[in-house]
Amino acid sequence: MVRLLVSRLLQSLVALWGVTVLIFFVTRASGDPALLLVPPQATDAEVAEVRKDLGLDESYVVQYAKFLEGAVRLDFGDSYRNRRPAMDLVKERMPATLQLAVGAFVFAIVVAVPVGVLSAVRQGGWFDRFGKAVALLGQAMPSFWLGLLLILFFSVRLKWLPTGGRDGWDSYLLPTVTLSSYLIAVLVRLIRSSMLEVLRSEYVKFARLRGLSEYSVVMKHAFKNAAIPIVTVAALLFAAFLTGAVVTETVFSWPGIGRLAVSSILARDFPVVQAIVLLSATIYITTNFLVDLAYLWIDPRIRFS
Amino acid sequence: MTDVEARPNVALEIDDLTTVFRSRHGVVRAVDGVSLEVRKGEMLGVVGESGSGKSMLCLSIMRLVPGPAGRIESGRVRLGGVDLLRLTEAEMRQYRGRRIAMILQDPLMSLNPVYSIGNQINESLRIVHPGAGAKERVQKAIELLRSVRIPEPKDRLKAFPHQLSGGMRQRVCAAIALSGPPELLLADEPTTALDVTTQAEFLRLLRDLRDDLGVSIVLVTHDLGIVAQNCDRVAVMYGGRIVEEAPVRRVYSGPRHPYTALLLRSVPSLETQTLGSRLIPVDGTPPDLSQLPSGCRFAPRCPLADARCHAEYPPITEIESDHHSACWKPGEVASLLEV
Repeated sequence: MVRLLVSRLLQSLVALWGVTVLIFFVTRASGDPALLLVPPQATDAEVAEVRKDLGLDESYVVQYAKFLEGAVRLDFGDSYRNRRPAMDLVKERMPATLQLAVGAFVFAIVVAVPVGVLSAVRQGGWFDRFGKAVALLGQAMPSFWLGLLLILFFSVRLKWLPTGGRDGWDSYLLPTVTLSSYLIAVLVRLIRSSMLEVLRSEYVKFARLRGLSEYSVVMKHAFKNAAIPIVTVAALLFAAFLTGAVVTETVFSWPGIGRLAVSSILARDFPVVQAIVLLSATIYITTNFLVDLAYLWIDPRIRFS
Repeated sequence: MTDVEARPNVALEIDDLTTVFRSRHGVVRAVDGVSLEVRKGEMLGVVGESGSGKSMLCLSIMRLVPGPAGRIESGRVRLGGVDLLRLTEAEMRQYRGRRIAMILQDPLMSLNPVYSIGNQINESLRIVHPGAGAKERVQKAIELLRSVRIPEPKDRLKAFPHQLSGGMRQRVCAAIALSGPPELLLADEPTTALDVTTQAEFLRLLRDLRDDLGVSIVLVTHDLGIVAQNCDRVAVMYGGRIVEEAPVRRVYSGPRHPYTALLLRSVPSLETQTLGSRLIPVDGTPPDLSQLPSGCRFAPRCPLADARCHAEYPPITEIESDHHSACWKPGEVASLLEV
């Protein structure tokens, strides 16, 4: 098992290195940032001046070496746009994204687990139909549309909640619901189908034959087995939340990573883009690693093989 | 709740039990008016082809027919004078695992892969002996594993199902089933998934449980050889009904239903198997339960069938003492064995 963990760790480092190469060249392929920083009528000499200033006149090998050397120290250089360390900009936006991500994730789990489980247990009944409707709507409705509908109803019509921004507890409600809707839909569907499969198994039949209560049959014997595929999907979507929810953040003017990423990409602000992408990659890789650990914890067949 | 005086030597009395399934082809009567008794301390073999209703009979007794498609339509299932079919679900749960237990065909799948053996035994013990403390339950779990002859029982408690062999897993299932211990154990093809040696050991274990603990056992199987070696009486099922019921010795020496006779003819045995003789399979296919003939269900495959057999279903009657058969011509059955 230790060997498995060590090999996973090494794989993760290789993957991260791969991401640095990729993001370095992809940003450079997007165009010349200097052209966006000078006035339209600037001369070639002026542009060259700006390029030199940003260190873009050096060869790619040198630029990459500098980028890599800085990245190890979590220093990605200054933002081209506002001349502050890129990492500081990311750090400023992190709490907002983190709060929204955790809130939406917890909300999704709290809603999706009971709905999914009950849909499976009452297969074909009215609750199951309700569960299926939730899953269909959540997956079919784009979050920008759901967000706008919620704003229209709760903020404009009823004037209960603010239309956007991030001040006061009530500003969290609509973005949280909007962001979690897709995850709820995915989880309800997945939990339902996974539970249905497990509920048909022989060990569930045997658990009932032993006289165990229905709660114990469903929540102890069925759910832990059904959880294996659910953990993967839930964790990866959580990672996606952590790396910024562009659409939800834009609709609700939420000061998170997602909006910073988009504006930085449009401005060809390489240091900020590189910082965000590398941070996202680290989050994904860490999440995958934690998912593997969760498997070991849930399923003894993996633990002992 | 007590309907009638419980008969002293009868553990379980099934009376006119019918279990139906809704399917695309209409209503299927998986168990069709079965009456059967299991006597105290006996091992009763229930034999039949797949789809004959053996497993559904067991699940009906446990009241765990898979719904919503399946349901018990009518009948009585009496354990100690109490009709199980009239209990509420909560009351019935008091019987499952405590007074009637059931083990399943596939030992590889009967235990939950994500919980240890000890955890799963403990869970059953908690139900059966609610008063026992944690330490007491561990002791009891070790005793149970020892009683089903699992070596080093203490270490096995920590093991997970995938770390044990099929035979060992079936023993663990038996240990869990015996935690009560129950008055009645339903074993649904418990050895089908095991290899021959393991099979023999497990059947010996069942015999010992019957002899030592006095547990009444219903052994469901499609293997007449297993019945001959282990059971006291046998009930033969065909198309959801019981067609013959008698002490094992009687059935083997003089079957009174053509289906039983043809089954016997298809089984290899050391006595009948001489060089040059061959096994004769039962011709035809098991009946489609959604399109049953109006007469005897076996008539389409029966060499003795005549017009009456095709028209009228023969009721099950006691042909001689303790020997029941559902056939219009029980006297002619012997001729089928002279081939």
